[in-house]
Amino acid sequence: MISIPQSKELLNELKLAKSKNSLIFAITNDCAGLSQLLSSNNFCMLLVDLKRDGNLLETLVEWERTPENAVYLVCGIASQFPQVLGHLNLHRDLFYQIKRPVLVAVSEHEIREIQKHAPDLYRYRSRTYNLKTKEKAELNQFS
Amino acid sequence: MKAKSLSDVYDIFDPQEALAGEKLKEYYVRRESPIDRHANALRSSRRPLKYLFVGSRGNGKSTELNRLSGLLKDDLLIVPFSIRDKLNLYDIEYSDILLIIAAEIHENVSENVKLSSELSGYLDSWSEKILENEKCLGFSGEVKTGFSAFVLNLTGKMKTEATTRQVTRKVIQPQLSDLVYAVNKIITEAEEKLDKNILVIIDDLDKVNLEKGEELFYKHGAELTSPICRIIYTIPQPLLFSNKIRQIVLQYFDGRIDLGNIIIYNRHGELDLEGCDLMKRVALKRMDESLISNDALDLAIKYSAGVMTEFIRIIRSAGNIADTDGRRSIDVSDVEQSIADTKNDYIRILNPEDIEILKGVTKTKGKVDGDKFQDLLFSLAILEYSNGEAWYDIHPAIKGIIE
Repeated sequence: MISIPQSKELLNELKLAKSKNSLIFAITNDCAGLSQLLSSNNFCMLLVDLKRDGNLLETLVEWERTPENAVYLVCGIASQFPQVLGHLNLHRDLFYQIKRPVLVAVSEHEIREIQKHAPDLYRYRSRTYNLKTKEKAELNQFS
Repeated sequence: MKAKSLSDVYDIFDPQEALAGEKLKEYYVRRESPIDRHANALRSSRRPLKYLFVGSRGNGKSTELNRLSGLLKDDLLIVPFSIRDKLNLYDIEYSDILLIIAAEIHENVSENVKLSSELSGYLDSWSEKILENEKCLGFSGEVKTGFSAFVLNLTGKMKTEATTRQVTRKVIQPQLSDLVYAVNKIITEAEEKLDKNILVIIDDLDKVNLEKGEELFYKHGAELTSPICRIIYTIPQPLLFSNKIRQIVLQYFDGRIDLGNIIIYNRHGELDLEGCDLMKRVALKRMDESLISNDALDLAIKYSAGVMTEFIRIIRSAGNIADTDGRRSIDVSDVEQSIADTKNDYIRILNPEDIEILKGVTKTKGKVDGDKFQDLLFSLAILEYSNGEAWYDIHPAIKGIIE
């Protein structure tokens, strides 16, 4: 029941979080659309597709080599369930040290699993955006 | 520095950050905290007191522990550390904790005094013996001579290397009394030379799962309290509903330190003005008053459940919503939207059985036996409050859902 275009708020938060630690979740089935949204809003979008790329944290620790306007967009987290949940929950402190926003695109099922099985990681979040309702319309509106 | 704009609010209201150092001085608001009372006991008692520190997740325990360190730093040698920086919380055993305590005490003490050659010799030969035993088990880890190098090497690997953990336990657990003897020798000599007692503060042990927590504190309470220095262990709050754990508390520990949630509503559902005022001061110490309307601040307080990180997150998120809209201050509608996010979080994970328990708690303000209640407490769907007598209530964001 999302009445306000959350993608606009997401973009604003990403601007505020520039060069800062911030873990953000976005509920969406359209990772490609989200990727396009970030790129078209002048973020240096660094896609981490967990279906393909091995270890998320190993990728994130390289953050100092990225430009200040970099945003990590993480997709395909379910492909590494359930191990990744315990792993990220345990190493969540690392998100505090990564001075770049990390945006994790998740489905409803994935966010539920994260809340249940990685509760401490979830508590580390800044916010969870639901981009699913009227998703296409919203993504188009701000791109 | 107080936030002067909504973008400052985003920086200053960081729910991940426990207050420490300068920020503790600048932003901390005095609350009813058991820390002050226990600081006196820790300072003046002749006994090496052992306490369990309890509270809901995100209710400010780490900040209070940082404050305790500050209060006692002139009187005691404080050895504070987060267990999750040192060990793997999913694979942790009592002997790992004792080994880390030994390593941390040794490191802190070595920075302040030179241990006698007799003690250093004893520690070196102990570590050599452990290395020899590891070799007998076919573990050819990096050979480091001397106790300092040994613990540095070992503790560096304990968190990440499963093999190191397994072999170390195989070797150390049968000879645990030797490890405790070694730790206690360090403590005795250091306290004498420093003319100060040692206080070890172990944060984040409350993050272990309940099963592991029960194993650690129920089965190994005796071992965990065997070092002869003062120790504070954080412990998962729902564990204290277990009769077994309560026995252990009485038997081995000198007590528990309970950091309650801030009371926003009393058990009759009426607003608690003192709690609301405290939360208001928390916000206004960090932000200019012009950045949020009174009504918006009141609403954020009412839906914070008296949990500090929840409150900080609501304000930060509402600030972003207002900023997106091009406004310079937070209105009620921004806070409402932020609260809607919290509601959605709960809607996603609560099942019909949970809802029945939550309805019961709303009516009785009492606890219900069973794991489900503990899980709901763990997820902050249910919160414990106390002003002498404990009662329970559900997170205000859920009230609308179950009604």
